Amino acid sequence: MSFKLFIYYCALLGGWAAFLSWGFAQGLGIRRLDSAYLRAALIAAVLGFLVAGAVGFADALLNAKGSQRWMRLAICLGVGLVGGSFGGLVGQVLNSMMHAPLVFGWILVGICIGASVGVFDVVRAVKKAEELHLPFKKTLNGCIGGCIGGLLGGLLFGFMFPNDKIPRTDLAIGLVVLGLCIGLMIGLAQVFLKEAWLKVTRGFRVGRELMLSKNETTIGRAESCDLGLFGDNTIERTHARILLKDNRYLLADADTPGGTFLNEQRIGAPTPLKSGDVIRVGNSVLEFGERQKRT
Amino acid sequence: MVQTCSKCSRANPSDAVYCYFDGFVLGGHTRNGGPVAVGAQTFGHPFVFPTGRQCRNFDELALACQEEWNAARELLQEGFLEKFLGGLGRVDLARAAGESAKFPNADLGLHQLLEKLPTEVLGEPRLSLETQEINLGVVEIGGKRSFDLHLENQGMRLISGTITSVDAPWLALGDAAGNQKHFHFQHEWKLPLHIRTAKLRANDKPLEGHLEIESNGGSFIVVVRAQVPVIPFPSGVLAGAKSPRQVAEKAKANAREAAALFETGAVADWYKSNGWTYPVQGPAASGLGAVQQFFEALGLTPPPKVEINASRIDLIGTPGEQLSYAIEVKSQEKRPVYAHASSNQPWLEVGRAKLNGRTATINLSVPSVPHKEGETLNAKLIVQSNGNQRFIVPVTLQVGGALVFGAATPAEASAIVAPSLVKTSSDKRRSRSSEALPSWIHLLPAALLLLALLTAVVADRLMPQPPEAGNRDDDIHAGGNPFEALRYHVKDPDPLIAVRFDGDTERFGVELTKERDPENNDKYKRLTFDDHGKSNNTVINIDNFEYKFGDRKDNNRWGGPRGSWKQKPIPNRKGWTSTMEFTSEKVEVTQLVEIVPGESGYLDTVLVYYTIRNNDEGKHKIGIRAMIDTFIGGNDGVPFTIPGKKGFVDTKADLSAKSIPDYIEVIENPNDPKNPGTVARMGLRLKLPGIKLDEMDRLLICRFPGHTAGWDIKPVSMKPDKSGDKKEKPDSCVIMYWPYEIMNPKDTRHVAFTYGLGSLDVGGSDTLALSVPASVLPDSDFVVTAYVWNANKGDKVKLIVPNGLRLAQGESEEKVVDESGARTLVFWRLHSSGTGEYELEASKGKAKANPKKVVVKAMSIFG
Repeated sequence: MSFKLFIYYCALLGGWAAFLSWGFAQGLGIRRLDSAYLRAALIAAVLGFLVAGAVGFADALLNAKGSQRWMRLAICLGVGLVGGSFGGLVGQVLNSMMHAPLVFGWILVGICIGASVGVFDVVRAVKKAEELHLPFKKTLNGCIGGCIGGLLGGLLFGFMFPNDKIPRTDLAIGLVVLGLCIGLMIGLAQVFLKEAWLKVTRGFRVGRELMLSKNETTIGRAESCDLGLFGDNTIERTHARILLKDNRYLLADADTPGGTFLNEQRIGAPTPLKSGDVIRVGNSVLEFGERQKRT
Repeated sequence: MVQTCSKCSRANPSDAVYCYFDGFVLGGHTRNGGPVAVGAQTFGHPFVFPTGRQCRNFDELALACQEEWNAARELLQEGFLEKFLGGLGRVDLARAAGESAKFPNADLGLHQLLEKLPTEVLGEPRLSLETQEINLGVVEIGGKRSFDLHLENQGMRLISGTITSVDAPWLALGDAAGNQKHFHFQHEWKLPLHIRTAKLRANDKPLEGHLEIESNGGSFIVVVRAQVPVIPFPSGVLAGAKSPRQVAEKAKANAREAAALFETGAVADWYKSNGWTYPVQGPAASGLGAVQQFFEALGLTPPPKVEINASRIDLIGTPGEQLSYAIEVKSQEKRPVYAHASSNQPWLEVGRAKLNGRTATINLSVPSVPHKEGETLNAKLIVQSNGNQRFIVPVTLQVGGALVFGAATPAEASAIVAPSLVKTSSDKRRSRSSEALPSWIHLLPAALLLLALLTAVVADRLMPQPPEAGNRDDDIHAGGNPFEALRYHVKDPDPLIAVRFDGDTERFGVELTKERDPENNDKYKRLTFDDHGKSNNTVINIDNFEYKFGDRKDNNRWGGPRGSWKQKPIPNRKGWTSTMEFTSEKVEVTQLVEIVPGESGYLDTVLVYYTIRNNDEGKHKIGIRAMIDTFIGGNDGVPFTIPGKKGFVDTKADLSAKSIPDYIEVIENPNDPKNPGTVARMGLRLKLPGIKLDEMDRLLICRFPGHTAGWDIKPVSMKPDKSGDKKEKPDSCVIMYWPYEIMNPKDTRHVAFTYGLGSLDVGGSDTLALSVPASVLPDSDFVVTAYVWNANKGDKVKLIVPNGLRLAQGESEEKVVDESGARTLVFWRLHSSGTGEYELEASKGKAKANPKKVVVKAMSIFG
């Protein structure tokens, strides 16, 4: 999946998830609850659950593999559920007690949804005692995107809700706009604030892009590889690695007979990468990109 | 008898003493009169080495060659020895030297010559080894290990021979390839031996190899031993396995967990670490297919018979277009199927197989159809599945399909894939990767979302309010406003005034229905500045937060399901309620606006009534204030009459609770007793049956502060500020406050006022008129007001008080006008006793005001 498609589907899936959350809220009678706190918490919980799941699904498609995708999705759903209910409740309390605009609640919900995207990476890094810089960065990017999305969507939500002429679907429109905004902004934040990435320019699924969010990113034919280049028998199961060491990305060959080539030069020891470098493994060609020079 | 030379085996005459050919002593003549040894025979002239060493006979020559080997080798190569021996007359030796000089290896050449010299001083070569058994200990696979084999010549001349590695492919002889090596040396030689760790195979038994050495100095066999222990499987469910069989057993017990280890290559890596050949050829399958693949490779399970769903694939596409296709490899047997494929053409890319039980799906894609319009490209797809079952599927790509199919879009063209296969039910096109999809496909979910939303909205608009919700809410709020339960009678159902609402905020304006606006005959005369009341407002103060009734925000909204209580008509009445919820505080305020009968008995008065409910679990401090932007005819700054207050209010007034009168009123033409015009009256102290109304806390009569005015208003004179440049007109309003006080949970408060028409019946030769409250409570004080026109200071006005009413303490029937004026006011404070209707009269001299009726009853209206 390319980054453009990733952003697009983050927004779209967010919108669909929000539409479904309206369906749940409507069908379960949440809107008819007397308690404004309970009402806000439940609607935001459903919204957080589904939108976080949707955005997490898009993220898993781009950045995860195999069964790890389901684990990512499960964590996103959990964090979205808890964070959504928390954000909705706090937003309502702020609104009731301090007359803060409801948009604050949606901002909190957006932040929680955005954070959910990076929680898996943080947990994994902690478990493996790896450096936490990249996972934290990813989580922070998600929070920033969620915050902006919550703000923008919350403001639009305020304009669109309530509407007496469409008493049932005014919430649907508001939530869909909110979900679209949160999804869009999380996707944009992930892409525009990313540090480094790979793009497949020749080989399996040309145009596919992968954000580097781990200290070691594996490239190879095995499904367990972070960047799977299937169908190319000239590539080993694990063919090459991109390592983050001392704030530098290094390309390392995994002792393969065919070798790994950086700008058409076969590498021996791990070799520093710079933005625009072309990596060749087997018959597949990748392009390395880096947003900023790490120092 | 012929004598045979014991050295050269050639025949010589029977009487010969020396061999004719090599000069060797023939048998029977040794030490028998001839030279004992030819080697000791002195040369005619010595052979001198470059070092100066002189050789006088063959013995010395042989020894010199042995000791100065390199020099002798060079002399041989350069032909000096050949010439010397020829000069001795030993043609045989000279020829031998010539041949030896040409020998490819100079050392071996010299060695051959020395063998032929007639001397016995040079002994035979004799090979010696340091050891014939070498134990290398533990050798790690992947590491580097070398050692030297030391050979020594304990004899003379040169040792030459071969060394061969037997049963030890892991043992390399020197740096060259091969398992045999030739050697020759004069004194000693070290053969470097390298362990080819890549060829080591882990085994619990020690490895043993042999080196066979064959030479002219003897033969030996050297035994080489090494320990290569098996590395157990490091992790996962296969941990501890030390042989493929153990791996298979563990994998069988935990197939799903083990599958990941096969799939990721961990098992293959383990094989490699032990130096074993991984039995699975080709890429690893995924899931259980990987386990099946391993078992098949070990021969533990037979491979299932598989079949492929495509015998050939025909693709059509336009240059640059993306195409995709999927083929399936299936088995009827209940065993996992795995497969992988490769293409022999770069334009056809093969994806990794997706395994699903008995089916393996392989995605094919053409990322970009080559720019070879009109050509048909061919490729071969080689599919390999269980048990190395192979299928070769021809693939054709017809470039330029769009030309063939006219207006076919790329998406349509891509759909024309393998038409021959589409006919077969077994061929189903698989979902393609997102990049392979036509771009419009990505818009489909967005369009569907829009459609779903639109459908929901349209359905929402078309559907009635949800009956269950509406009924429930109606039930809860039925009779929630006690005023709605009141019943009253009117003299004429045709109202004299009308109420107009602002559609957004439910603010309301009041206008007459029978009289035209004097300034605009197309409209009716107004009692509020805006006929829709947009300039009025009502503010609810909850815990110091101000809300304007009718202004919707995040947490103040119209009540009822989906705001259905924005305006609800009261059945069979000319009244409407609007309920607003303040969700943060859970406070509900209902505004009731109804045209009710005033003192005249006609529908000429608007009752404005607010009910405040605290539905929260906690207390709230709540107050309410209403502002009416008063207007009458074309006059926006009419002076107010406040009963009991001297003079007319034409600037401002700020009255606190107890000084607030029963009513205030304005007269359209106050200075014209013959035509006073419309009289508007605002009732401030109402009594309603069965309802406890909060008393007003504060009353402001002042300049209109604007429709956005909040709770706190600084009263300003209704007269224009003359200091300003603008020519402003008088602009009056009335602002009513009810107490800002604590409301406990579930408390309800009611406040109300009326605004409508009053009446002024001017009598006494157009000089005197009485104004009284529409009704008064029994046993209570009230104020009677006399309007006096053209009065002079000192004029006396007398009120005739009927029985049942009496003057309040300190009051007198006769009042003196204390200042002259076109119009002035005189008040009396009376006290009521029992209920009933009483007529009041007043006179000023001979002039008498028309009688005015006062109704004493328990309630001010509807009692």
